[in-house]
Amino acid sequence: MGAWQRGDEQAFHELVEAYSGRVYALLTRFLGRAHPGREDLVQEVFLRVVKARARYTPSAQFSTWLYTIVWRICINETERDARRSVVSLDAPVLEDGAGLMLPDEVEMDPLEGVARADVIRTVRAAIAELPDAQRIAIVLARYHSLSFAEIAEVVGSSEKAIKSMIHRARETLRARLKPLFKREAI
Amino acid sequence: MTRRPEQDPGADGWPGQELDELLGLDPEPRLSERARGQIHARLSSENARVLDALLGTDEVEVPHGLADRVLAAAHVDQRRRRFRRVGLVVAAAAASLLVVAGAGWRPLSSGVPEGARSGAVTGLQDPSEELLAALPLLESLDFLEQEFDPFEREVALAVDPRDAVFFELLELGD
Repeated sequence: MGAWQRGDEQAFHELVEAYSGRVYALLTRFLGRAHPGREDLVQEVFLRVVKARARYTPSAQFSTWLYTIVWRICINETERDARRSVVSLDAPVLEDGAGLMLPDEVEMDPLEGVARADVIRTVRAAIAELPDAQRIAIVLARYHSLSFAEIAEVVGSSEKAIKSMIHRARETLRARLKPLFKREAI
Repeated sequence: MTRRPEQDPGADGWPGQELDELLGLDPEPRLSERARGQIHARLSSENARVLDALLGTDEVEVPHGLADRVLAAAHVDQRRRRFRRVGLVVAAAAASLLVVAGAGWRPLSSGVPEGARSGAVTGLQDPSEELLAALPLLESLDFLEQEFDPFEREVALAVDPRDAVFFELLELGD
């Protein structure tokens, strides 16, 4: 980021190469696979990075700063989705909570097997049902290897609060995924 | 295999007495704190391992060429913003030009010195054919103003050039 601020345009290319996939994965896990325009949101994230080029101060890690932008976009999208869902009350919701959030599971490789597909569907549904803050915290911790302190910086909270949040999220997930535990432990 | 107490009433007791006596020897499991902690830790770490394994099944496939499309979008946005900036500069320049032109025209109607007036007009508008045709006359008027006094100038302007012959005859008569 520093190199790019000094005028090295190639550095921006490297940033996009390195982080666009991670941003896409974070948006996908947080918003769900049915969310329209996740790729557009990745572009939106990097356009904000471009606009904030001059303002960025290297006090924090670039990834932490980037995930802060992603988190803000996630919150905006969640609020927008909430407004949309108020309008469309007739939208079908399946019993397992997967509903419209996980449509690409249908396209899963059939060789993976039905049992595995069930496991993945249940895991995704369990993550999707977590409250927003718990969801982003567990996703950043589990899939992006951020420390409690870094997650606290991203969501604007304290390290202790994040620790407790992740603990609660794991407890909730464990309870919801309990039926899968025996199968997975064998 | 443990025998069921109901089937083995014992020699002189009631059904299940033997088992109750056995349990009575150790009514509570006497596990040390350390042992309990070890069991708890092992269970929770096993739980954590299984949970992490389950969460690990959720993989995200990143669309092919995503980075390239993001870079292209950033490039387009940058160009758009540059054009917008250039557009603003051009608009500001055009506005400035209009202001300057307006300021340049004002002296024509407010009687500023001749030099300043001609300086402001030069280059903005070509003189018309009528003006060019009238230039000799204007030069003549200028000559009249400089060379004759007001009375003579008035007579000169009032006399038709065709009367020039009459004036010559008068002079000859003198």
